[in-house]
Amino acid sequence: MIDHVPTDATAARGAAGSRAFRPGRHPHAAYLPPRLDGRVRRTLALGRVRLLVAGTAMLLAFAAVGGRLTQLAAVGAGGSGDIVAGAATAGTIQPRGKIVDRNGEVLATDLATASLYANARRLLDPEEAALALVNALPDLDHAATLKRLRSGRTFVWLRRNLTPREQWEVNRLGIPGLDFVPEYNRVYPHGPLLSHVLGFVDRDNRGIAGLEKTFDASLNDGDVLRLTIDLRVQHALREELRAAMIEHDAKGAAGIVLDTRSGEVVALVSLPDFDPNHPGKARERSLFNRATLGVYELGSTFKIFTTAIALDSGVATMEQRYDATRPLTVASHTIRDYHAKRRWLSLPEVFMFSSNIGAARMALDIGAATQQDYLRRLGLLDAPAIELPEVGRPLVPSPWRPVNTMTIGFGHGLAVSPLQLASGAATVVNGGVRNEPTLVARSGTVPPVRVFDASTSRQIRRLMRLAVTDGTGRRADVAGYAVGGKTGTAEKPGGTGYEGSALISSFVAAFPIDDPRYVVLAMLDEPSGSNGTRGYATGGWVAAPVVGAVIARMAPMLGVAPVDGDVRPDGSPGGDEFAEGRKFASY
Amino acid sequence: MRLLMFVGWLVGAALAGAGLYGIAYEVEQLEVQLAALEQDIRREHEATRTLEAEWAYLARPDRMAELSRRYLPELHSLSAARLARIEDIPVGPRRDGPDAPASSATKAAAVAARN
Repeated sequence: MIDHVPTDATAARGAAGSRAFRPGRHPHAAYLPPRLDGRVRRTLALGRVRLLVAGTAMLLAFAAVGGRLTQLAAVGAGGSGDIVAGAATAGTIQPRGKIVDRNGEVLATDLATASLYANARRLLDPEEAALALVNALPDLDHAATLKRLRSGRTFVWLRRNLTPREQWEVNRLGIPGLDFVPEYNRVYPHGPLLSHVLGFVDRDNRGIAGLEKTFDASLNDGDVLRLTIDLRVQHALREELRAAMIEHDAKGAAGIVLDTRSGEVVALVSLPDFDPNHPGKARERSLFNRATLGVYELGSTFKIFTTAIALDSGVATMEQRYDATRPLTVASHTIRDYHAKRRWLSLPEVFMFSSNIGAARMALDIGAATQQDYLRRLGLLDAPAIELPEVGRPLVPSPWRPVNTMTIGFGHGLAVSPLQLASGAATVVNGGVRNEPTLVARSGTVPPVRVFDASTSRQIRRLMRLAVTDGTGRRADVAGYAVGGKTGTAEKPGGTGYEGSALISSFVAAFPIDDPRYVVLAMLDEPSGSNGTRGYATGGWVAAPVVGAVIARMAPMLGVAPVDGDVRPDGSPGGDEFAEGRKFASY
Repeated sequence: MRLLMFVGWLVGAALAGAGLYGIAYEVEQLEVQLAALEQDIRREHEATRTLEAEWAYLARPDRMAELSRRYLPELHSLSAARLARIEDIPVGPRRDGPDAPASSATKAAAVAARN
C-alpha cells in the first residue's frame, strides 16, 4: 500500500509537466526563431540527424551492456559452473571395476596413487634435485634420474604410482618443477593366490592376461566382476598342491574344483604361479596356465570315460570280463598293465586296478565312431568355452587309427587340459548332463546337455567309490565324505617316444559320491617319489593325498553334509551304501 | 497515467532483476556446495576402496591361518565327525544315562585320534 502512494504522486506531477509543453507541437518549436534562413535550417537538420545517430548508437551500446549484465546475472554463474564441472570430470579418471569372489571378497581393485614427473625447464639445479630425489626415493637410479632432469623437456616421468608416504617425502623436498599426476594402480590384495585366474594389467591399467583381458571393456567402465571362485577353497587347493609339489620336487602342478551341478569353477590353481602385482618379475614358465592352457595325455583318469561309454552304449555290462593275461601288441605298440594281474578281469576290476589292457579291449569293443561321438559331446575334442583367453586346444590324433582308439581308451594319444578332464568327470558323475565350465557368475545359464544315461552315471560313481575303498585311490579317502575317484599316471611323450621317468600324475575325485556336489582334480607334472611314498610317483601316491586333503578342508566350509554311516567311531572311513559294489572285486 | 505505467514497469523490472539476481546467486552457491559434496563423495569412495583393499590384504587366508596357529592353537579344522544333523540331536533328558558318558568318551577319542 505504502508503495503506491509515492508512485501516484510522481504520476500526478508528470502529468502536470507534460501539460506545460502542450502549446508547441514540436518540443523545440518554443525557442526556435519564427523564420529561419536556409543555412541555419540545414545545420539544425544535420545536428538532429547526428544526434539521432549518436543516440541510437549509445542506446544500442547500453542495451548490449545491459543485456550482457542480465545474462551474466541470470545464467553466467551456471556457465562458469559448467566449465568447472567439466574440468573436474576431465581431470579425474574413472577407476577400473573391482573383481570379487563368489562371497564378495575383493580379489582386485584400483587404488588412487600419484605419479611423479618433472618439468625439466623449470628446474633450477638438476644435480641437486637428482641427489635429493634419490635420497627420498632410494629405488630411483641416480644416473638415469639426472639424465632425465637434464633433458630440458617439459614432461619426463620420474616414477609411476608413488605411495602416499613417498609423495609426502617428495613434496617435502620443495623442488620447483616436480609435479604429480593422479592415477589409479591395480592392486591384487591376495598376491599370487589367483594369478592365473585374474591375469594382470599393463602399466596403463589395460587387462592383458586372464579375466582382466577377457572383461577389459566392462571393467574399464567400472563394472564389478563377480567370479564363481571361492577364495577359501582356492587357498586350500593351492596350499595342498604347493606342499605336494615341493615334497615331490615336481616341475609344476594344477588343480581344479568344479561344482558338478552348474559347471562353476570353485577353485583353479596352476603352479608355479606369479604375483599379478608385479607381472614383470614373473618368469615365463610361471605365466603358463597348466590348468587351462596346458594339454596333457592324462592317462588312466580317461578310463572313467571309456567305462562310461562302454556301459552307456551297451557294449558292456558290469559283468563283462576282459583278458588281461598278457600284454597286448597292436601295430608295434605294446600295451602293458602297471598293476599287472595277469588274468581275466571283470569290468569293475579293470577300473579298480586301472588295467590298460582291459581298457584298450573295451575301447576296441566301443569302436572309433562311437568313441569320438561321446568324447565330442563330453567336450574333450574341442577347446572349452571358459572365459579365460589362455585356453588350450586338445591335441586330437589325425588320422584316428584303431591303435588310437585303443590308447585313448586308457588316456594316451589324446592330450586335453586338466579343466576339460574335470569338466568331463563332472558330466559323468552328476547324472550324465554336461555344463560348460565357467568362472563368472552367469545370469542366464547355458542349458545343460545330456551325454549319459542317469543309470550309467550311477554305475560309474559306484566304480569310482570302489577305486578309493579298494583300488588305487585309497589315499584320497576322507572319513565322512564318501570320496570316489580315479588315479592317472601317464608317461610324458618325449622326443622319440614315451619317457619312462617323466610322469604326469593325477587324481580326479567326486564327493559325496552318492550325489556328488564337487569334482576335485589334482595333477603333478614330473613328480619324483619321496620317502613318504616309498619312492612311488604315481597318481595314487602323489595326487590322491592332495585331493583327499583338499576335500577334508573344503567340505565343512561349503556345508556339505557328511554321509551317514561313513564314519566309524574310531574315525576311520566306514561302510556305505556302495558296499555291495565290492562284490565285483571278488570276480 | 503513462508515467504511472512507466514507473510501474520500472519497479517491476527492478524487482524482477533483483529476484533473478538473487536466484542466480543462490544457484551459484548451490553449485559450489554440490561440487564440494561431489568431491567429498569421490574422496569417500576412494577411502572405501582403499579400506576394502586393506581389509582383503589383512584377511588373506594364509595370514589368517598363520594368526590362528599362533594365537588360537586350540582351534582345529572341522572334521566330519563333529558335524551332525539337527534331527539326530536327542530332545529332552536321555534315558540311557549310564551309557552317555561312555559314548561321548569314544567320540572324544575319535576326534583326538584324527587331529
